[in-house]
Amino acid sequence: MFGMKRRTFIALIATSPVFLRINMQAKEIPTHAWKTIASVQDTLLPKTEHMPSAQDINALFYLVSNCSSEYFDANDLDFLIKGASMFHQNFPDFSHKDTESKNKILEIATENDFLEKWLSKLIYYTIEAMFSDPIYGGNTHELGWTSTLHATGNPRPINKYGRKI
Amino acid sequence: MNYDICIIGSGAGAGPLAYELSHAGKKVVILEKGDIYSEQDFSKDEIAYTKRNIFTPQLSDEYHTIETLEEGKWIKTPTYENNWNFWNGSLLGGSSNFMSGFFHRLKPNDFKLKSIYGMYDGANIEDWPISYEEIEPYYDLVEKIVGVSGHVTEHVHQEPRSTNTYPYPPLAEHPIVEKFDTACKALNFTPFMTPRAILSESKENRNPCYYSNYCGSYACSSGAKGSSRAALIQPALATGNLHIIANAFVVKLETDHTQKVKKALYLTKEGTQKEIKAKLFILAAQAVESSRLLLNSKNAAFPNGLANSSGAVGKNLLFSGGGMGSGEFDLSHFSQEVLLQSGLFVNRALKDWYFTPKFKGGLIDFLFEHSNPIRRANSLKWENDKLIFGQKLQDKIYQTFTTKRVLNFEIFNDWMPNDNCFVSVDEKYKDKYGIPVANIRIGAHPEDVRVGEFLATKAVKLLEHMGAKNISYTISPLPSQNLQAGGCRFGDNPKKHVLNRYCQSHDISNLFVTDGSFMPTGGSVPYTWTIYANAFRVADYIKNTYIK
Repeated sequence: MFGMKRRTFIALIATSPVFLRINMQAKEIPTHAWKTIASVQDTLLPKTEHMPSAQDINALFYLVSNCSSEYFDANDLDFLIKGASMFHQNFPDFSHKDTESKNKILEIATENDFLEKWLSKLIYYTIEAMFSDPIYGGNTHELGWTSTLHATGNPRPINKYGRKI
Repeated sequence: MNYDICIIGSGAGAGPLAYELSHAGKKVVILEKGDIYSEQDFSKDEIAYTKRNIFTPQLSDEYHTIETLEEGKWIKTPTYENNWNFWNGSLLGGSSNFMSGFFHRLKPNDFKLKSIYGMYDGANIEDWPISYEEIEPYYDLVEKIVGVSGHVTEHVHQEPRSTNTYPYPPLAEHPIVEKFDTACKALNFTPFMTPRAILSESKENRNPCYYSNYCGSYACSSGAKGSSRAALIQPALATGNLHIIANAFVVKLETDHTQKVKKALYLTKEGTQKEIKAKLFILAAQAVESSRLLLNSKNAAFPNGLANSSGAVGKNLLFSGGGMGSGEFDLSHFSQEVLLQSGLFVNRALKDWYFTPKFKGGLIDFLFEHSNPIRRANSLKWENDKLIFGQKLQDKIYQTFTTKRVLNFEIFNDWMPNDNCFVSVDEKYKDKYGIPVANIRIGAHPEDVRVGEFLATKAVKLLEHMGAKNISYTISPLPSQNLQAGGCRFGDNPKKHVLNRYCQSHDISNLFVTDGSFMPTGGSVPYTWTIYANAFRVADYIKNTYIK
């Protein structure tokens, strides 16, 4: 399901102390939640003629690697995980469907207020991954910026979260 | 160590005092709630500067309570529940680091609104105890010391100036200003060139603007933006007379038997209590927090809080009335190369209705939508209250980013001071240190919205004439949290006013308040320039009279 990006992601978790810390937090979150989120993200923001997909810009990696930050909204993380569980319960075969079916499922999901809010939140964090500085782990090769002709500002961050140099 | 002067805060109300008094040879200490940053620490990181609380406290730790009127009742909500952040910058230089630097002076009649227009029912407007002529030399001083770029536009409400130019030439402008100016001419509006507290040329150790494309809400990496930190505190440090204690949260001012402030108690980041003694204390923590500190400093001699024998501390808090709107421009107006040209400024405003014969009007500033791509892309996910996603959302993001540009307008009109807009504290809501938080009741006067609507019709007319598409606007009685003033009015009557005309407490002679708290009315412009100018005026008084 994840292709190269997932393999890269798992390798990083296994080797980097940074990601070991992430894994300590992530271990409390059911694996299926991350799988569900990854699958839905790529349907919410798929690859198109002009735009990279959620997977292209490492949206899942971005979310997992930033959700343990003290600056990440704990309520948002809780909501993302609860929403993923509810979505998975309602649509357990989602990840195995074709694109058209996935889109139909998401249309159905938006008719539920809770799931619509969850999808909206997931779009937000996927967009964060697409347009934030690559230092945060998303926006691979600056694909989000280059695809949209966005001129980012300089200087670029050297440290995450405004930490002093 | 005993200091001559202790300044609480380091933003626009503090910088001029630190600058002038340290240059006068006084030993000055600044207690700053946040950390010390310099230009090389700043970057154009949308996550850090606009999406996380990096330069403000975490709301779960330190918050405010906000009272809003709902179905006839005032409902109090802690900001950790509604995420409405009233902190605007806890770092050296305060929120001036993040300002856009639209520098408009007040006008002579702003100082006598009550005399000009009479009373508005339900509004506590009153004339200032000083005139425009008394503050004009200090506006001029700010232009030179902080650095203001622009070109003086003659217009019907032009205030008197002691010079007819700004010290720095205008910043480079986007070609959209040609459409703006042409439309103004056709409509008989005056295209006003907005002065900016951004250097177009280098000044001492500060580099000029390099058109980063990420300006408003971001701290400046070249020092071009006239923040209190870059323009005033850095030169003050060079005198050797200024000491800065960072991460020092002042929680109480203690008085002695002579009814003077003798020391400031502050907490370190770790919560350890420390104290600083000084001969003179200057409070400039931004309007809400300054009132909070005075109220929280109550003692046996001052049971209602310091400087509060009038009972007026916290009262008549001011924000800015108005709202904002926008219109879209696309490839039918400009080539893609011109349309997307980044970094260049618009720097245009309309002031034709700053005063009207029957009521006080206001100002309309025009600017391109901030570049922030996360915010812009996320704003595209709703259509007719329905969430869009997939190919449709991706196409919309691509089309919007590559073929459209949004011209925003921001309306500033007077926030009418009234009995339902104030700061208070109570013992129920406390921050992580156990200090009562500031409660902010936000009651707007109907005039604020009426004038905002009036001005919006003018802005819309202009955008229509420019050929803009999808024009819309919102005027709200809810304030923008970064424009704070009032709460410690200055005036000549100790029974009514917290401060005298020099922003010195009527009750406590060695206590001054120099952020925007002193303002009885705020005018219809962003407050920063006036706060800077007034703080320079107070510094002159302290230098020439108080400590002479």
